[in-house]
Amino acid sequence: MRDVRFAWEKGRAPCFSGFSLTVKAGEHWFIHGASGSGKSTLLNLAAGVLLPDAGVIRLLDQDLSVLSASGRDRFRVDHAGFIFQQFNLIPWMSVLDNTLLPCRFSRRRRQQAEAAGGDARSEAKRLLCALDMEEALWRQPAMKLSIGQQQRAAAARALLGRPELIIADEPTSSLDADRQAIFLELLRHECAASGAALLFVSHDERLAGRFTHRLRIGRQETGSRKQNGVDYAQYTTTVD
Amino acid sequence: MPNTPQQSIDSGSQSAASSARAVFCPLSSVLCLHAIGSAWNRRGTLVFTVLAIALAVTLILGIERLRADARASFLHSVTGVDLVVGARTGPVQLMLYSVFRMGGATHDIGYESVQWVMRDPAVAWAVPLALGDSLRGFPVIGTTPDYFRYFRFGTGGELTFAEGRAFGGDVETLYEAVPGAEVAARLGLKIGDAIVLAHGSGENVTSEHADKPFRIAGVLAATGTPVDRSVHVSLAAIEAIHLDWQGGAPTPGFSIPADMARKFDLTPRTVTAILVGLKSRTAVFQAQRRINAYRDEPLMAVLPGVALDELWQIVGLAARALSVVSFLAAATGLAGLTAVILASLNERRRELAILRANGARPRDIFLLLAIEGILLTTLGLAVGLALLACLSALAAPWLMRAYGIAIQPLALSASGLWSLFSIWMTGLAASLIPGWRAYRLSLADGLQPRL
Repeated sequence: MRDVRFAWEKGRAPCFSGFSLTVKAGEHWFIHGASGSGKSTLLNLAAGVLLPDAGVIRLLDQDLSVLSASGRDRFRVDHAGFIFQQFNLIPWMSVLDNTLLPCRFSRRRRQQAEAAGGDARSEAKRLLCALDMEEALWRQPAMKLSIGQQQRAAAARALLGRPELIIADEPTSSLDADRQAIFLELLRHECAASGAALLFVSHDERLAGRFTHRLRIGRQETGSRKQNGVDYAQYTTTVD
Repeated sequence: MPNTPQQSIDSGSQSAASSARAVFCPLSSVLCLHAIGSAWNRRGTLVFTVLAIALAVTLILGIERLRADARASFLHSVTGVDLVVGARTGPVQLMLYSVFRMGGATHDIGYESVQWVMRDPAVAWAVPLALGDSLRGFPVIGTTPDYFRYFRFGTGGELTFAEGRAFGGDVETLYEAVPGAEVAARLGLKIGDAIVLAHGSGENVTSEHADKPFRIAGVLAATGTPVDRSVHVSLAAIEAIHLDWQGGAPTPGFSIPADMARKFDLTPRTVTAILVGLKSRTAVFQAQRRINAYRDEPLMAVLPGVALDELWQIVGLAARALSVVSFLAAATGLAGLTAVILASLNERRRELAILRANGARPRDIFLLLAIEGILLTTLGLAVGLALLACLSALAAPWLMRAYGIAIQPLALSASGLWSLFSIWMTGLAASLIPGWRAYRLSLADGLQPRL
């Protein structure tokens, strides 16, 4: 990301202005900040759901702005796995089918899963095992699972087919402290195993110690700057 | 999305290949499978939507078929009759009183004209009808035993007797009557029962022929034609009961007892209409012209098919109104379908967002919803057809018995197919609405709905 500027509405104060960030393969980033500071916006920009008003966002050397909307959709599922705070799984589908979802839409993810596990199903099962999901749960519809189990299944899905980027938006916020730690360890271990970069957003700074990199997003009133007659409140970010 | 050749190379064992196929299918079938799975998950609600469509389809096709079959039955009220001859009046009016026994004739025709028609070289048979009397509201027809031989209905069915036989043609059997199936059923008439005819028809009954009671000789089987509502007696009997009548009323102070009447010349003086069968149908227009040009009495010959068609234009209006109602029912069903899918969209926003986060494009979401609607419409059509097949199989014997309507089992007419197709197309169009809504929603929501 270089010199990215993004505002939710034209003429309003931008969330990001002149923002740059480089994430390399295998790096685990902890991104934190207060609510509404723009953490989720950053993830949406990184995933190409949102496009910057100015600046360049490249994912694996691909400029996301030059792709069409459906091209970005395709590119996103080919190269990124997502874990959200909750509601990751389709309730009526089995855990295994939920895990296999990206392989249904992305040929690349499917092929990489095959390459890793012989066929996508075995690779999904391997990941579920690695994430501590008992075999008895695989055929259960997702709605029967506890939240911790659901998050682990979501992690298995995000990792399936070795996408280069894992985006986790507060995946542990619905879990209690013990389970947070266990989940985080499993996730980091599997990301390390697949060599994926991890963008992990949380407002809980206690988790930050386990990450290789930290990014803090916060509003620091550095005074408003007049530009073209419009007031821009500036966001600054600090990288530790 | 085409499958890659890699797929076949990779699959080592049979089980691996089959499980592989479950995972790798083209996008459209992924969406279809997902739509089915998702719909199955909401089957509790959707079953009623499908049912509404199914009922509408049953209604439309049922009414359509009933209309076609009723029309066919109506047009076949008289078959094998090439001409209907009566006094000069409108063709529809002549059909109304001669075939449907509704209303009265303004004029009678002389029996000499009947004999003249019978002598015509082109005429194979002629059955005179004399109307004007009734039995508790049911019309009484004076005719000859030939009536039972030549009358045809439907696709050529002959009159058959549920019990007994036709009235005889001689003096001994003068006071015999043969009621149609409906008359017998309504009035509970059996062979041997005595009945008293009334003078006049419908509301205009003036007095009864109480001095000359009739005996039931036989009861006709149901035909689904106005024959079922008629009571048949001989022309001679009609003449006999009116021997001591003058100007539509019993002659005061003068009566001829029933047995005494047998001794009179009972050749009828007038009849109301004649049903005529020709030796060759090709002669029908010449015969018609000949009869219309008869010099001794103004006569009119009518082709029953043409007149019935004209009459159906009026009667068929009700059936057409029913079709309109059934199409409204279909519209209601499809509107319900759209409403149900639309209403479910909000609770499905998460599901759609999950699909988006896992690679489904907004247009896939659009397709998913459209496929769901089309699947439900198609299912509704199929269930409706099955329902119709069951219903018509169940109702066919009853419809034949009660109305003489012969139902064609599952024979879809061109208009029926057209109705099916238009319902399906409307369902397709209706499915695009939730599809479009979902498309807009998934564009707005991105990967995480803001609920």
